[in-house]
Amino acid sequence: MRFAIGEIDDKLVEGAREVKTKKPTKYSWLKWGSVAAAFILVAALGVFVLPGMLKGNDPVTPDTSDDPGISGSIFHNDRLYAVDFYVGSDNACIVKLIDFTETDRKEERGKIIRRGISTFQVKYVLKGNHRVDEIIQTEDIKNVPERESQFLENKYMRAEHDSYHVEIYSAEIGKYYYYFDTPETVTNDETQFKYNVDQMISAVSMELPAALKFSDEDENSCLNFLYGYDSLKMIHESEMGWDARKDITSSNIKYYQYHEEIIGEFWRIYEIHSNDEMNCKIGKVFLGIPIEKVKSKSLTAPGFHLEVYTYRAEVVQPILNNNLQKGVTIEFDSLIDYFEVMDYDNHYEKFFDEETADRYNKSSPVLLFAYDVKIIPKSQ
Amino acid sequence: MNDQAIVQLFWDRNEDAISECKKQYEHYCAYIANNVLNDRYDSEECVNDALLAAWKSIPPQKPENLRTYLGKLIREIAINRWKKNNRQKRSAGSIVRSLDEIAEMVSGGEIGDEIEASELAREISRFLYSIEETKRNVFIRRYWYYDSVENICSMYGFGKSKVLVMLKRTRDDLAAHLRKEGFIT
Repeated sequence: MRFAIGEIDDKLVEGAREVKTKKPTKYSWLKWGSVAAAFILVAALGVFVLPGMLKGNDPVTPDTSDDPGISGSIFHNDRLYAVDFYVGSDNACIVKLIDFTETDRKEERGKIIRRGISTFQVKYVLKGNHRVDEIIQTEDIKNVPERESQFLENKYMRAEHDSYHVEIYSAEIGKYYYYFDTPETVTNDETQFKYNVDQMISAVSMELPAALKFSDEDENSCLNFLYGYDSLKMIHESEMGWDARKDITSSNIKYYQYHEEIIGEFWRIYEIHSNDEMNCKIGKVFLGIPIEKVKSKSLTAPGFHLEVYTYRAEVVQPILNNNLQKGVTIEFDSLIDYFEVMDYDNHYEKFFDEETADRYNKSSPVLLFAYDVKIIPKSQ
Repeated sequence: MNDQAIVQLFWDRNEDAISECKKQYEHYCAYIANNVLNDRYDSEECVNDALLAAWKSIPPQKPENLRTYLGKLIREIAINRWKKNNRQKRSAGSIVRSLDEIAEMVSGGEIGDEIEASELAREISRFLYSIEETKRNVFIRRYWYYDSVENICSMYGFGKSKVLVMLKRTRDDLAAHLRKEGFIT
């Protein structure tokens, strides 16, 4: 096979010799991105936060359901944030902000911890690990910019199956809690694997909505690719002592034009096992608000089993000439592709016995989900 | 001096053919060799070996595209050198991955004994012509030029994930195509 590839047509080889690098066109996406972000935030706050505030700012008990109700992205001061909204038991909102622009890394006891940054007037900050039975309550904080909060302490908390990191800040009227999932159980200074691949994949997939692939390669596609943005933070060097779901290593966002709408596709990349450079890439679409959890799918592939959720999403991120429009519906249709990319140079043998390492080496997937998309224009 | 003139020098058994060839294509050949070997000195030796191989094979060969002809020679020479260097160990590196990925395409099946490499190469070419240009070029950069994924990312301005996924898909599609056409059984 290798030899045959070496004998392919000379014209093909010559054609690949001159690389035509595609430089992304500079669009004023930051400007409208900010507008969109503001819109999303306002919409989200309007729908979820304000009712809670009007109800008297009662402490929120996070819903212990597995997935956030809403996801979005926000550009603010040239920074890209992911936002997950969790609906509390009293229908108030818990907001999780993650700065993707510059994912802060901090090594502590063999782990890298994701750091959330809050810049907006966020009422409640961060729900902990959804798989921790313990309910975390945060005190009510209003209108507290980050700069006015003061770091108090950080600590680890452990539950039966999970550990997580907490940073606590004081603010004008209470404490500000940041929780960081560290889904591995810490047994000693050397992080040990306590999760099998099924569980890790499950943990990640449950946290994120399914990925989406736009059929942009189709000439007849109504989607016109506008701009892609990578905030790459790829790690090429193996780092020892790391465990599952270390962190988000990069983010990537693409914008497409659909008629007069602009929609975004957002990817964030996780490393499940940084020891072996294995990335788990799960795309996430920030088109707007998933208004309906349509169905869940069950997928079984060699080595693991997944539950995949699909959503019906309404575009709230529109955006041409500052005319905010909404109403276009994106329907995540059939799963058109689902595959794993095997990685290389796995080093599980350093952590497991030979049999287990071999199994993991064979079954560690890089997951990518691709959904066909139907775009349903707003009815006239 | 153009390719035809250099090839004519080879045919005339004029040793200037070697120096002309080296002048024009040394960098190109060294680039490919270094992608495989990641060693400048070994790569330089491979370039000399490739020029010698060209001297021995032209005539009877009369390549139309001398660059690609030398590229094919250097690929094989560099791979053989790499195998020799790494006989005792399975080293990591881009070339191992590249070779593994190529081998993976026929995993679960085998290429029939009666199928000649040239026949298979024609079918692979046919497949590559049928796919989108960027995918095709990324594939060739990876498996013909043996560029690392990181290099390809730099060349095309793509993220690593995008390149990995693109390669994986093309490999899968190629494997499926070869199965369909009966090359892999």
